[in-house]
Amino acid sequence: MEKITLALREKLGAAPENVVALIVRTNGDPAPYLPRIAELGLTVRHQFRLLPGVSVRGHARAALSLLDEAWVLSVEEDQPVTAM
Amino acid sequence: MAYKISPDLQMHMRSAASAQPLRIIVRHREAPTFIATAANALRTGEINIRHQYRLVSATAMEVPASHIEVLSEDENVEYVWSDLPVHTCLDVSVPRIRAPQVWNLGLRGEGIRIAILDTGIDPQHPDFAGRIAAMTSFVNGDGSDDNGHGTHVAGIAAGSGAASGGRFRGVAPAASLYIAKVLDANGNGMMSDVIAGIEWAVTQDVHVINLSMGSDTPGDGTDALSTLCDQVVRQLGIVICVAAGNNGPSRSTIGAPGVARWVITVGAADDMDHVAQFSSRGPTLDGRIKPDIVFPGTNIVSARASNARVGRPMQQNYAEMSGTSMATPHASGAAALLLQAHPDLKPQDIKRALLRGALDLNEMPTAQGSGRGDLLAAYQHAVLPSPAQPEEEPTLDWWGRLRRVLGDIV
Repeated sequence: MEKITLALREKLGAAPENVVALIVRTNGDPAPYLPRIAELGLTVRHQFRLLPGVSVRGHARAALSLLDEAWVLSVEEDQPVTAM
Repeated sequence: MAYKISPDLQMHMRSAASAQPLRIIVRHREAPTFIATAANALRTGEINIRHQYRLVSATAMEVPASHIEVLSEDENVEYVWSDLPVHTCLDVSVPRIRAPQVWNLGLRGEGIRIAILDTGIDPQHPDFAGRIAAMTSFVNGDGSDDNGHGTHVAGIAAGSGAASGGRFRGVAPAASLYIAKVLDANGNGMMSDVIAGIEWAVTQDVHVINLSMGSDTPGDGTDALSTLCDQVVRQLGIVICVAAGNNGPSRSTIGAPGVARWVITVGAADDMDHVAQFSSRGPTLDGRIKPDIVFPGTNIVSARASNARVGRPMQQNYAEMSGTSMATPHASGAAALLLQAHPDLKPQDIKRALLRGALDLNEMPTAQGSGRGDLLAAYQHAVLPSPAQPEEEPTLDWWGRLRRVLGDIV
C-alpha cells in the first residue's frame, strides 16, 4: 500500500515551502521517532496511541522526507472539520 | 374585509412595502373556484402558489402585501393567515422518536457516560447542573463554549430541561457528560484535534461519543479519523454517532468521519418526516450506503450557551438550530438509553436495534438509511445477541434496499 496518495504527493511537491498540516501514521508508538521528526523540521501537535501516529506541521519538503522513513506507514492531510 | 385577515398578518401588511411578497395561507371554499378567481394574478406572476392542500380547503401562497386586502374581498375566501415559521422543540422531536415511552420504563440514561466532542459547553446552564463529569479542550480555553453549537448538541443528547420546567428535555436527561472542546469559536477544527479528543474520551471510559461535525470532502473511510472511529467501536466497544453533514441533496456528499464503516452515521429529517434537503447523501466513495439512519434535525430548540454566537435565541436559555448536528445527539441519547437497558450490548447491537426499529420514510436508502429513528421500536429490538451470531455489515437489508433503488430507477 502506498504511503501517500498521488494527489497529495504532487501537492506537496508543487509547493515545497508551503506550511502544511499532516497526520502521520507510524509503525507502533510514535515516541521513539519524535527526535527524527524534529530533525526534519516538523513540529508535533499531537501524539496518538490508539491509532499510532502524530499530527505535524511544517514545510511540505520536510513532509516529503518523511516518506523515506521506514517507520512511517502513511502520510495524509490533516483536514479541516466543521460543526454541522 | 379586515375581519378575514389574522391580526398578526394585518400587522405584517402595515409594516411591509406594498410590493413585498408575504407568505400566507388562505382558507377558501372550493379550490377550483378560488384558483379561477386568482387566475389573472397567477398569469401575471403576482401570486405564487406554494402548496394546495387536500384535507382542508386551503392554499399556501406568496402574494404582494398590497394584494392581500383585495384577495380577502373575494367571496370564496374565508380567512387569511400568515404562513409562520415552525419550530421543532425538544418537546416535539423527543416524543416523535418515542423517547418518553422508554423513560416510562425507568430509563433516563443514569450511569451512562456520553462524550460530546464539539465547541465545548456552557457549564453554568441549568440543564446540565451536576452532570458534567469532565471538561477539557484541545483548541483553547477549558472547554467552555464560545460558539453555542456544543451546548445545543449536549442539550439534545442529555439536557434535563431544568430551565424550562422540564419542557426542553433531551433524550437521555440523566446521563453524565464528558466534554471535549475540539472546535474553535467559529465551529472549525482539524481532524487531528478530533482524534486527540477521541483518545481522551476513551481514557474517560465513556459509553457513547457524539461527533456533530465532519469534513466537507467526500470519503471512503480509510482516512485516519474514520479508521480510529472504527477501531474504537469494534475493539473498545464504544458507540460513536456521527453527523452525515449538511451538503445534500447531491449524492456522495458525506465526509469523514461519517464515512467510517462502524459508526452510526446520522442524517436529518424535517418536521414532516422527510429527509431534509441539506442532509448529506451517500453512497460513500467506495460504494457503501450511508447515512445509516435519520433523526429530527430541523428547527430544533435546545440549550443555548450564555455567549452563543450561533442559533436563533428563543428564550434566555434556549435557541433554535438546524443541521445533521442536531439529529446526531438524538441518536447518541437513544444509544445511551438502550445501553442502560442492556449494558452488555455491543455497539453493533445498538446500531442494529436502531436501524431495525427505524420508521421507513420511503426515501432513497442513500438519503434516509434505514429510516427515521424510533427509540421505543429500537428498545423492542434491542435483545442480547447469541454468542454464535455472525458479525454483520453495518448496513442491513440489502435486498430491500436494492429493490427500492431499482424501483426508483425502473
